[in-house]
Amino acid sequence: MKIRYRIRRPVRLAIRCTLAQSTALVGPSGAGKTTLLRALAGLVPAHGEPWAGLAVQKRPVGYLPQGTILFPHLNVWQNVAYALCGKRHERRRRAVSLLEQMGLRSLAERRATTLSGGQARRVALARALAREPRLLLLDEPTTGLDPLSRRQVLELLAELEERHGPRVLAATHDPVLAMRAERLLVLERGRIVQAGPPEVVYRRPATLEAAQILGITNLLPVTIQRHLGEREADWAMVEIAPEVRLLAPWPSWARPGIDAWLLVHPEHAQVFPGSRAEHRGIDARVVRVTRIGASAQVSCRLGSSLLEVLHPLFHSTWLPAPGARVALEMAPADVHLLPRSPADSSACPG
Amino acid sequence: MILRGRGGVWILVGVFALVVLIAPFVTLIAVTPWRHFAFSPGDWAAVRVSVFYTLGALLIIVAFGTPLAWWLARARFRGQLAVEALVLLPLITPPLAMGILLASLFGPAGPAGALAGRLGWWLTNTPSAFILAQVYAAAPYYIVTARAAFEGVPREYEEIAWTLGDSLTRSFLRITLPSALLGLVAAVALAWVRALGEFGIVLIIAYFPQGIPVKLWVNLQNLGLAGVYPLLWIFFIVALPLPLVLGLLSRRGTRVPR
Repeated sequence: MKIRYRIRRPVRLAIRCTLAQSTALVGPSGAGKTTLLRALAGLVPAHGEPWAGLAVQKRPVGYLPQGTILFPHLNVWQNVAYALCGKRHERRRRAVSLLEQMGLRSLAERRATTLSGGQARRVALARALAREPRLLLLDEPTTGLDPLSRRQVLELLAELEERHGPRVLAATHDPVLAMRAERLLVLERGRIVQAGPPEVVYRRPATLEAAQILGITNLLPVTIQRHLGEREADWAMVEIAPEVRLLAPWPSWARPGIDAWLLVHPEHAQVFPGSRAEHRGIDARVVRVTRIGASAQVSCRLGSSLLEVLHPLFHSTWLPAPGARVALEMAPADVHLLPRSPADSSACPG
Repeated sequence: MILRGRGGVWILVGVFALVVLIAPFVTLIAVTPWRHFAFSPGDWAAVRVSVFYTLGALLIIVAFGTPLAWWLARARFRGQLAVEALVLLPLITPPLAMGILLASLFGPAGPAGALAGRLGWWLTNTPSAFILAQVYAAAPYYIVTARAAFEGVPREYEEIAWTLGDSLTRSFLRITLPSALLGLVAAVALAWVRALGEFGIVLIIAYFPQGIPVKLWVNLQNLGLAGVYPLLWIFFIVALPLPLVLGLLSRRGTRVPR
């Protein structure tokens, strides 16, 4: 499903993107995620395809805004039956059966105001689904929930996808929701700056903001020195500190001499005892070690930056101690360069 | 001891304010000639006039004031502040002056009055004039209170209703109105009391038919204080039930656990 939307207010947006069965929309606060959802629902004027000329009531969409969303003067089944037509007992029967499918049967007679946040959100989903929309627009569906409720909402969305329910477009700050989607859209400065499977966006975010939204903090300031062409790949030689150099895949926007961010995911770096003289890596000093199950999170200082490394404890019995000098190694194919100044990123592949 | 601690001073001040407020009504009990309690000629006619015409005025206020209140609560436009000030204008105008202005407009020589007169519809000293005066007296109170009630209903509720297929009118009837009901009930109660007790505007353009407030004044002129107290008791008995019942209902409504 393709979307081509032009919105002027309250945020100026020019959107071109494709929606999968489930799509997560991420972006910094104020980028216009809510505006895009509202425009698709018909609550904000927009030009484009699909449905732009259609009244709110005629659009085949369900919309769940953020926050309190059930009608407080109705009970649960009356909320779910809101969009249904027909006699009262018929509407009630259909609403209750929908609640049953979603495992919420026991709530049917409760007042909407007595539900917990997670329950209310699941009932609101049922209410939107009752109308059998083609597209479900969710604004921060997991924000502000306790961990259990959040998991229940996530489960419900996963089930919806398995049952081939309506397409889902969810604006979110929740990395789990974002990574579970089939497709991830990054909205920044009024347009979609990156789109693709979440793993790809996570592995190779196009911009610093996209990386930060996905919770990626392992970034080192570097300078691109030169281009090394090989038979099948282009490499960039980057300098981390004077005389400390690394190879990284050459991005299309790169030019020798410009600044960039070097991204290496914690699971892609390895830490070894000793200094780089004995290894091929770069020198670092251990700051903190946090054991998490079968691995340890090792925070290393490189110059002025901190780098997290996920250090598995299956094979090695060696665990770096805080203050120790270590060597860091990373495969050139696993690191990724990001433009460092905002002007650079406009040349990014969208 | 209830008054222990520093809060005691404030409770004393509050009790004092309450005593001052109710003192005139306690006086009424004392000064009413209970042994010779009798109504003056025309008192019951005044009660009928007040009750029925005030109900009529209330209908008009609700019918026209509700859409205006909703519009003021929802619309955002240039000059909105000016419109809001206009709504308050009848409220801040002294009642006597308001009556004179209405007489200038709706009197036989006034533009609207002359026009209506040509159709055989007289807007001074008729039931229509009485209702007109009450509408001007009470409508601003209703509109301001109802507007606040509508503003308390999150816009999202209406938007969700639209995405669920409701038209503007349908979402208003199914969502906005029930959600704002408590506030609207308070607005109706306020308008009822304001309209029923209006004296100044009514005196100027609708001396007849005589409702309770004007009749109180007439009784005072003709019979002295003895003619006032019995009718005043009737006024309270007539005026209080509606606000009390509505107040109780709305209080029950707010006690629902959230």
